[in-house]
Amino acid sequence: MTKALISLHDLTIRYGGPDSPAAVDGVSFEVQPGEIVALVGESGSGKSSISLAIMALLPGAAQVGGSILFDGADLARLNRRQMEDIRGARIGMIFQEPMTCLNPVLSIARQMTEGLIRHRWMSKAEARARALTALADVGIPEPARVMDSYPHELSGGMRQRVMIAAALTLDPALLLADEPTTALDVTVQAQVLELLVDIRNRTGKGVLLITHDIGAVAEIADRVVVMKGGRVVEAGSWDQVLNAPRDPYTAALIGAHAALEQALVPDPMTEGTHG
Amino acid sequence: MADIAPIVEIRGLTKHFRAAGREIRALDGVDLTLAPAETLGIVGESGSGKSTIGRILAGLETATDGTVRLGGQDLRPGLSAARVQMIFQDPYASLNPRLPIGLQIHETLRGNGQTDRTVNLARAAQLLARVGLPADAASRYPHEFSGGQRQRIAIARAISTDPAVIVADEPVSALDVSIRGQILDLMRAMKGRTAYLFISHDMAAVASICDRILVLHRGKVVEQGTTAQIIGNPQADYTRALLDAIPRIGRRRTGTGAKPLETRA
Repeated sequence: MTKALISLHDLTIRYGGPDSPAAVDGVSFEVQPGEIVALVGESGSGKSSISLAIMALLPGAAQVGGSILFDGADLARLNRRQMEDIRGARIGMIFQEPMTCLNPVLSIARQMTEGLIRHRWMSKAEARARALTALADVGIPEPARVMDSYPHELSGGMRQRVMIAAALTLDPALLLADEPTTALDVTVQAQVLELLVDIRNRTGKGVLLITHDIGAVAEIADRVVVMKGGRVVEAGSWDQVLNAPRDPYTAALIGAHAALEQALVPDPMTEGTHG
Repeated sequence: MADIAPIVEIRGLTKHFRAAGREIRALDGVDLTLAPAETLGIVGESGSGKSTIGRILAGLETATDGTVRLGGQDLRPGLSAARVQMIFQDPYASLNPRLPIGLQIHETLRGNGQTDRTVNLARAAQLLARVGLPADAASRYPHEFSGGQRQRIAIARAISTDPAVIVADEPVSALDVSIRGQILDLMRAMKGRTAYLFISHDMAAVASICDRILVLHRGKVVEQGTTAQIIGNPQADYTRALLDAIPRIGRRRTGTGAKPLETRA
């Protein structure tokens, strides 16, 4: 087995005092290069706290126990400045709502080249060329035109692609995708899921997909970690977890999704056309 | 259902907005009918105009053009208020945070001309029990309930006036998947003689509860038919694309299907 890109060991997060209930309680898992790992759970499961902990964006009052090993460093112990070098540059981030992470008053060009100029000491022209390539790589048809646009001028799906391209410009080893499809129309969701698989196939990056959507997990995850109430209730290959869940909560979650999906199975008795 | 007079009859419904100097056609000549006690799903993506139809019917917006008839009469504000109720995606935003639930249902009934507080509170307790909430729910405040429970409250409040039509706009979209099924089951059980306009981007939720489905795209009706027809034999390319895009257990994505998108908003 190759060396893990990121590994969480016994991660525990509390937002109150030492006696307060743990939002995340002794969570351990890892992501290998080239692997899509889905961290799945419903609201209150603790998955969002883990996402914030990896990015070192937890509120100051949060108490973190255990470790998050990435690139030989423990992200749970880094100071703000050390973390700024890793965030974006070594861990690319994709969020639910691109408008909240794209700055509305800056052009796409400015936002996509900033990191390259700061972290990679590129000239403006070099950075622009790299950003154009990144936009083309995520399937944006007219990258030059998009570069000179502002976020509000783009559709929701296009903004999500721009955010993914921006996350890729610094060539991070790990992509952290936190509910990347939740705010998108279903036809755009499908495209973003395809894109994440395509990026993994082409670049061998590791992807940590944090989501509540069992359908998305079933379609693209290699391994699945299921959380409930701050704990991991089950972890395994997508095939095992989806098709032979061992934990009753996992089974209930998949069952609830499958029950809704059942409504989309055509009735064989339906024939003929309609208006 | 052709021989039953429709409860809602919409013809040529058009709504234009002006935004940033551009005219946006939210609705562009929509026709639809809703029979008494029928559940019609309106499915579409963002910008399709689906919510605008519901908001016009509920009297929250006015049409630019077209006719809306409710129970055989032309729609006017008083008529909407008396005969149409709404259920929203976020029940917390539609409940008054400072009023116990029982009093909120009393307010709704009072707005509908039923002024006896004692009778209304008894009715509230009865409705809250019917939607599966604990006996003391009427005296509690919205923040004391979970998201699923708040949606139960919204359903109880919507059915309290025995409306002819309930417009449910993304009623389960903000809920966890395990709760979503429970709320859909509850809505199904509470149907009674009320007709539903069930508006959602979620084709699975719509298909699980609706008798008929209307697919809307950029303000125009792409296709409509019975749920079995739309799911089993969709005619429009757009409907097929919508159905195909839904993430499913049992399908794996290969990464080769990524296609360029339309650029502009």
